[in-house]
Amino acid sequence: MAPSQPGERLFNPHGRRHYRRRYSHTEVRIGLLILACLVAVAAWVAWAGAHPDPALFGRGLLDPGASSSSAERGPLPDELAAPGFVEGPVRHFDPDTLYEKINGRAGYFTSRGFVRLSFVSLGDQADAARAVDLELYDMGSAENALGAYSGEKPEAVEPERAVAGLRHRDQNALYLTHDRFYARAIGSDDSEAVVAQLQHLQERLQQALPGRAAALPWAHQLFQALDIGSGAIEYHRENAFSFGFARGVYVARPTPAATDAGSGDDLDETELFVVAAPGSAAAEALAARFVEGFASYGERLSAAATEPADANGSTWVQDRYLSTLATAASHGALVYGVRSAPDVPRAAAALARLAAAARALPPDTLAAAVAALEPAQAAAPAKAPLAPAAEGPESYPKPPAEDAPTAEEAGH
Amino acid sequence: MSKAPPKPASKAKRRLPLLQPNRDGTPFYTRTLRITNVRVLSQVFFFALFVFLLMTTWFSRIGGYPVSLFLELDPLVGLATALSTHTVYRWLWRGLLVLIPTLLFGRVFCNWLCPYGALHQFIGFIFNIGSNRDHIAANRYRPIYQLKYYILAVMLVLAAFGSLQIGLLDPIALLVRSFTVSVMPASDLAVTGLGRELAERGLEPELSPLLSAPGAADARIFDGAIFVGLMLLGLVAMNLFIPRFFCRVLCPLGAMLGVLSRLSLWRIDRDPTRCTDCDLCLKGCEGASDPQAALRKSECFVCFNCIDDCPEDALSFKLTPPPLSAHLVGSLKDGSARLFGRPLKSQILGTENAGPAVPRRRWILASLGGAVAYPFMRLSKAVGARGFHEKVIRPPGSVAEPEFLERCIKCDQCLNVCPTNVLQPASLEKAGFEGLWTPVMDFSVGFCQLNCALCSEVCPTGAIQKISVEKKLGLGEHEDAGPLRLGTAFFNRGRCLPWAMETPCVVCEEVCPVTPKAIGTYDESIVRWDGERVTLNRPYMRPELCIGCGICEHECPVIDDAAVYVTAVGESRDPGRTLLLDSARQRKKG
Amino acid sequence: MPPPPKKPATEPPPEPPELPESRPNSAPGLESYRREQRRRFLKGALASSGLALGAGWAALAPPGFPLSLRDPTGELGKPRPSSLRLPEGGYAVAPRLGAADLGIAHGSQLMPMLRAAIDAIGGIQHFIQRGDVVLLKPNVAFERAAALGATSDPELLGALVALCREAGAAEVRVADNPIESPEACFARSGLQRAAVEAGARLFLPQHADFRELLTPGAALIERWPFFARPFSGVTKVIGLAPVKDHNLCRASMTTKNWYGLLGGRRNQFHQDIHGIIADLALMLRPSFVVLDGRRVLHRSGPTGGSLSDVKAGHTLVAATDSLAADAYGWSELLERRDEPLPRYFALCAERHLGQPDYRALRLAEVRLG
Repeated sequence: MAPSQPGERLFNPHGRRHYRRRYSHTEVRIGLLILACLVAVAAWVAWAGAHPDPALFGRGLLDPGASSSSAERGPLPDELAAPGFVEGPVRHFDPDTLYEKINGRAGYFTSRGFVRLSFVSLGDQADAARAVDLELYDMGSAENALGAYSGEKPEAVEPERAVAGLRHRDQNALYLTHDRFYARAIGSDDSEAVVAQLQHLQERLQQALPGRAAALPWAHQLFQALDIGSGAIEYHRENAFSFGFARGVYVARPTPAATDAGSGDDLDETELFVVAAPGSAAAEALAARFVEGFASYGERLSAAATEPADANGSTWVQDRYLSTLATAASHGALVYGVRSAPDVPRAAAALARLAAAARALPPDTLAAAVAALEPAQAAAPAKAPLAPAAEGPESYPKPPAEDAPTAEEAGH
Repeated sequence: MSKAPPKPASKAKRRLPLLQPNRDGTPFYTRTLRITNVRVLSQVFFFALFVFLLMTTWFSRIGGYPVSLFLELDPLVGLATALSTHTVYRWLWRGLLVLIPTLLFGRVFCNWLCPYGALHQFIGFIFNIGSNRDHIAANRYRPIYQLKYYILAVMLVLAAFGSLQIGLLDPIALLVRSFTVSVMPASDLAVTGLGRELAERGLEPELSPLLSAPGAADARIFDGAIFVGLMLLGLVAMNLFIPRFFCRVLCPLGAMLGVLSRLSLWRIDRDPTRCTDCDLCLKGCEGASDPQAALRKSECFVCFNCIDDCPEDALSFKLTPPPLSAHLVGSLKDGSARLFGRPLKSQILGTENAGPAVPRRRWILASLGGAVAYPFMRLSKAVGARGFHEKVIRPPGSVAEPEFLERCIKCDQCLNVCPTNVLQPASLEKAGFEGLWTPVMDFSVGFCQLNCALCSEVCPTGAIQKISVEKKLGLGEHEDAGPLRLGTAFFNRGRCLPWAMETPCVVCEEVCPVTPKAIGTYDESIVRWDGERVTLNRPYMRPELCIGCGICEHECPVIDDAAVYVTAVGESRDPGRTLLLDSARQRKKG
Repeated sequence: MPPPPKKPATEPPPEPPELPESRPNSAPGLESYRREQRRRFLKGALASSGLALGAGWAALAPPGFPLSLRDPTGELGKPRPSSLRLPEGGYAVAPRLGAADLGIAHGSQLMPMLRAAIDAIGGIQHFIQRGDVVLLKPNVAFERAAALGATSDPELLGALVALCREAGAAEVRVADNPIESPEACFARSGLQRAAVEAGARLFLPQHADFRELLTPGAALIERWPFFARPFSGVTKVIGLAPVKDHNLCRASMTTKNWYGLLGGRRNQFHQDIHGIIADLALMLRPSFVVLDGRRVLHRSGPTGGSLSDVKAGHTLVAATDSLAADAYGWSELLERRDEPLPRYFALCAERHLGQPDYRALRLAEVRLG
């Protein structure tokens, strides 16, 4: 209805004016009843809101590209939450999607044999800001898991022996290997609650992760004979010393006490390394390749300038920039060597001790080491580069062939 | 409020006008809590609840709230879907909670519950200026008010044939759709703009409770929001010309409740021995139901404004009052009429018109119109089995297209809850008239979240059947059936960077969320035109694995016309639209 | 029009006068008013509660109860396909004692050859009895003249219709669903005329003639649209196929012939044509089949096009085992005995849908003039 005055006013001035003259208590009672019903409706809506259907929110919403390939827990044991903590959703990542979880760190794991990451966050019920994030990396083999572990462990820390690997603790973190798994549990702080949860994880993971408790890899035994603890041993699954052919190399940095000539020189960064090869001939060839590789960074020392290192008469190579010495030799199917030694006497001594330990290694241990070689290591050492394609449409690969149907309809 | 002069013979202290007792001696609260005020509270409550539930329709807020409650309470939704599908889906029995009060009291829904009615009434209340005479004239009954019954007849006939169109004009569906598509995105825009302005001035107020889509990366956009918004604005603006225009003239739900009001036990009753025919009761009459004469039960909104406005207190709400003509003594013309011993003051004896005043012939003609409209709509190419639009990709859990059109009320609740804004109201071109404003996916705007099945949770009629995430992804007990497929992705190699432009790109393969991935690559090292050697990962589709989620299309860097795009073929909801002969078997083979 | 108000409506009303009691309890006429009020209440209450109860029952009664429409999960609202099923055992007839499995007639006269071949497998009277409704399924796939060998021979169709009627069939039907333009295919191939002249009832496919067929155990086409209308009331089915080379499945003969009874989007069948043929053998077991080796499309099948693609074979084969007939056709009529059989033979054999080694069966070979 258009306003009867010319349109000056915007709002209706009369409000709730009404003309009745009698009111009634009955009306009030009915009104109150109706209001009570409205309150009941509101209460029901609030109650319903507080009781969501758990199936509706199974595992949280994704960012584009994150893959949640399985609804199960994968290898994660249950009962991971300590009292007062509650588990969040479980997520898994494969080599293609790992970077979404750990960004640039993904390369560290993918170059060490990474298979799958299972991730779950354990939240403190009392404090929303406190949580422990558990990352369980399936590295494919115990050697790889130890390799990943040792690469992330600070040098100074000496690990403890875990049920099926090694472990160490931090104020707010747990690092643990168990057969082929490498577990990292990172707490948001170092409070008692977090520490308790980490302790619980330490016990539960060792108790319930799949995998068998076995002796540490053969190289650990070998270096143990030289008083080098597991904490000082690194495993390079590939590309050791930036050599493309060097795969499966164990490198130990002995503590000062382990070198013979303990002269107090704190720049002694001698490294001892061992690697298994498929056979004696392969080991010899590999040792020669190591020496060649070292030689690409420096010069071979003439035999006169060095004492004979051992019966094999290895050639020492001196780095042209760092003046450190390196060489490699073989014994049977084992290749061993020294790198970054400061001078000839210490280098020779280290090599001699390493050679002795190599010879002393029990044959079946060595056989197991050879058997444990990954097939890629046993075969061609390096991948051939991608074959360059010819120019032109011939370079487009054909799709997988099938009985290609013709254009016309198939008749009778 | 009427100002009352102080009582003459007492030393009553000056009190606030609100607390003054009534002139008939009753205390103030009988005025404050009179039935019209309770009604206003009820309207405010339900409108607030309506807006609250709409704002709660969001993945981070939804919890267990019954967010589609109003749509489920709407008895027209229940009746029409029962006609089209022969079932009462899930929560639609809640329509009984409105049906039963209607059978008792009349169209209480229209003025006590309906949020759209509350909106119309409120706009009319604050903006309609005029004298009492103007208001009285505006609230007289007009024959145009029969139109809603024809609309109801047409729509129910269409529903019986299997095309559900009530959503176009059903008040709840209309309001939910308007809020979802136009009002709430506009409000969010204003709120975020305000937040930005305040942030520039150093203030950082917590405005996210005011947003309808907090945490969404971009402002929500919807195809054709202007038309939906204009429809709302237009209908609301009509209140300035005819009060409660929509409710009186167009509302099919009001028509249905009006038909049922014939049976209602209570009604507004006028006492002709008190009534002076002043017509003041029409001043506030919401339904234009002629309370001053023979009440049209089918039009009365039970707003009680007439009771509030009658200076003679001649109106009351009575239980099945019979007609009075049998009890009249004397004659009306010579003024000697008496009723129960008292003289008649009003000239009009009739007090009830059971109605609705729609002649039978018009019911029949309207129904015929509906019957004829059905084949015209259903035979349009857009909704057929042949020639359907390839970009009509429905949400996961949707039923096949003919059944979808039997169920979708175009309420757009699914659009409201969708976290990625991928669901859009379909245009006429995509889905035809029958499918107007039904949900379709537009992967240039969003993509279908892998672990989300919220649209199936909020759909009140089962156009999108309730599914679990396990069923959507083909996990657990649904592993044999495989995942639900929305469509299949295709490559446009002419626009694809590694295929046509010597440029490395592998985004689509990286973002494909299924395992194993539905996109593979042929890896090839080439020498580019500038001599640089690059490795190109040229993608190809594995149609047995693709679920049509559209993440690839959404992430493709060729953003204007993506080089990988999803079309509807291969969708699992319709066995007639498969791409492959037996995809599950082939997937297992591979 | 009501009389004008007594006072202007925009002014507030003055002090309220004493209002008389409305409808005092003892006024004249009140008794009947109250009685009528009660009556209306009862009527109204009855109607309202009836409606409410009806609606309540329909909406809330557990699903499965009569007149209940309740559907909490949406499952009941889904369309349930009503599937057609062919009779158990198909239309196969128990073999006659002493009859051969494969009847091969060589000659140049059609009718004697046909009789001889059918007599060898038991005689037309063994298969067709008085009152039978017989469906003949020829190959009408293409709009080609009969001489090009891409479709069934109209003469043969006419002869077979006559034979069936001779045996006492109440009705003989001819039906096929070509990929495109049925009228044109039936007309150009001469089969329409032959059927009509022989007195058979011709069925050309319409959209409404198709229903979903359930073939339990089929790997690929367990549920598929089927040309159902000609089959209603049918008691015997005879297949009529020419010998054709086929570029996708290498040969198209009697087993593939049933392809023409399916609807839907058959272009998908290319993805696994051999599997489809095996499913076709499972889907329909005929009374017997006639393999027409008089015109052999030995290359560029299935459409052919050049007369040099067709050569004369002078042979007619009747068989109860379609696979064996096809094997004979592959070996002797297409002359590919040195090549391995197409894959569908192995698929059918491993599902016991025929014997690909026709020599292991009983053959009866007749040479006529």
